[in-house]
Amino acid sequence: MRTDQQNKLLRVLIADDDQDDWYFAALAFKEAGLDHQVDFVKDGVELMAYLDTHPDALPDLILLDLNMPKKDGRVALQEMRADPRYEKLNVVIFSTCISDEDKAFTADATRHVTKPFDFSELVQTIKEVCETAVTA
Amino acid sequence: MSDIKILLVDDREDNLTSIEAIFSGDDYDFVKANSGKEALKILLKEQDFNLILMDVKMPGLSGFETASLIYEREKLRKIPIIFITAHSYSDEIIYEGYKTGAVDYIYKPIKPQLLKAKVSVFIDLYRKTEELMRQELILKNEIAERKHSEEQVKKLNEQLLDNIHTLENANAELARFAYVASHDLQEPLRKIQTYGDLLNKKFSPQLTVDGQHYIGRMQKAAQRLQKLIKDVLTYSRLTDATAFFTKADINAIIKDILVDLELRIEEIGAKIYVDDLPKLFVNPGQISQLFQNLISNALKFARKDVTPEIRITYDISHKAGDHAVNGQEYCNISVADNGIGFDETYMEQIFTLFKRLNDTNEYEGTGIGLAICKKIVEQHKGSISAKSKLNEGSTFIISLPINTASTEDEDRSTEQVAESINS
Repeated sequence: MRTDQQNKLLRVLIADDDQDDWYFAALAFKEAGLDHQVDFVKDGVELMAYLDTHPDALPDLILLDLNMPKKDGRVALQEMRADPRYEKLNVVIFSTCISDEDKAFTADATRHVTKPFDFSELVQTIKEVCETAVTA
Repeated sequence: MSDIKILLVDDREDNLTSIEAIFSGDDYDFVKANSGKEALKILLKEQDFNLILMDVKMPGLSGFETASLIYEREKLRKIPIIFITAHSYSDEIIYEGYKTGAVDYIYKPIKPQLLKAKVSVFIDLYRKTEELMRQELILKNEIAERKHSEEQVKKLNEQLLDNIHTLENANAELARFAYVASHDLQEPLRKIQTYGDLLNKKFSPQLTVDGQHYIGRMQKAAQRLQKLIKDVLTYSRLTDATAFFTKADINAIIKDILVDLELRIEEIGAKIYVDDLPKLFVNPGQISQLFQNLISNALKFARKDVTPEIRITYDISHKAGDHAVNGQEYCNISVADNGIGFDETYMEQIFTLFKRLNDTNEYEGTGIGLAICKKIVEQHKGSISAKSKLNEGSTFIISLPINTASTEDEDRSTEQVAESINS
């Protein structure tokens, strides 16, 4: 039963404007041996559009960068939390540098994770947030 | 020459002479005119008379007529006139005289003592008026001067406020700049480190020993840059004036730091002694950072041939370090070690941003740690100083003001909160 749960495939959405970070994330999922479905959007506008076009396949986990063009992570999170369709989504703030103000402003995110400066650590972090999402 | 000038007007020369004779003992200047017309002519040229003595009954212009012509001129209106007359006039005539502005009458035959007395009353009056006017002028000048200096002070104050405002803006901008710069610098640095890490993990077997060594050096430098950025961020955040202050248990703060540093302490076998320190009204986060930096430094600069010892002690006095401060009590906390110490010649440098006394290869560091300490104590209206001897150890003394009023306020507000929770 537990093994089944751990093997459950997740729908993961990464919202980040940084192509290097897409590459790191994809590599980290592979390194961690996770076969989850990982999609990418490059800003808050694309993120909201993605959600609207996937009403029956909403992500189990969203990794949300704070600083993005057009619509940043803070605003995107507010919009999601204000929408009954998306208010319960599992959103993890995933950013290089999270200040106390950022934390206060995004207090209703599931959790806050600072992007690791080390690849091995990134793999660990990805594993951990996915495990939490599976058991959630 | 006398300061008193009197105009005598009479058509008879002998009268003029005899009146002048009455005042021979007084220091008055007399100007004589033997008709109203002549008097007017004199008054055209000279207006500085203090008094006019004038006969009423004169051929041509009478005394009254002359007086009314004199008083037509604004400048002359303040010169009093004493009419000299042989007649005892009816009230009506006297009233007419007063109407022209005359102030008094004296009757012929002139009684010298009476004339002298009357004249001296007017002269006195004149002198007093003169003195009053002089003082009024002084007063006016003083008021004008005061007004002027008040305006000057106001202007200087405004300038000062302007300057403060500009400085505050510049400071805030600088802090913001440092924050944003540090924040944005982390992004590319993270890429360098992650790619370096990937390179090391995935391609290490394909690299020569030199190649692996290069990656190692590169990663070390990147880590150092990461630490630098983190410290600059910390430093720039310290300008926040809204920092939260509360009565804090300093021993608890130090205990937490020692737990964090446990590994390093055990590794070098350091002995640490901490006094039972008083509770202080501080920003706990900043004070934690302060002791973290000082204790880490003490551990870092330990001598290899002796057991490292760190002693944290305190005393309370009216002195902040070596400086006496009026009425203010300070808690002076010393952090003393028996490490490598430093040359006191460089005392000023050690608290300056980015200044280092030791080379990076032997002792890691960004040169920001003590600058952060200095800024933290300054944020607490305190001070930091150091004493040291090479190869014997260093002592850092932080002086924090004991703010009894604030501590009481804090207690009260806590009580109030407790009360409102209970009710």
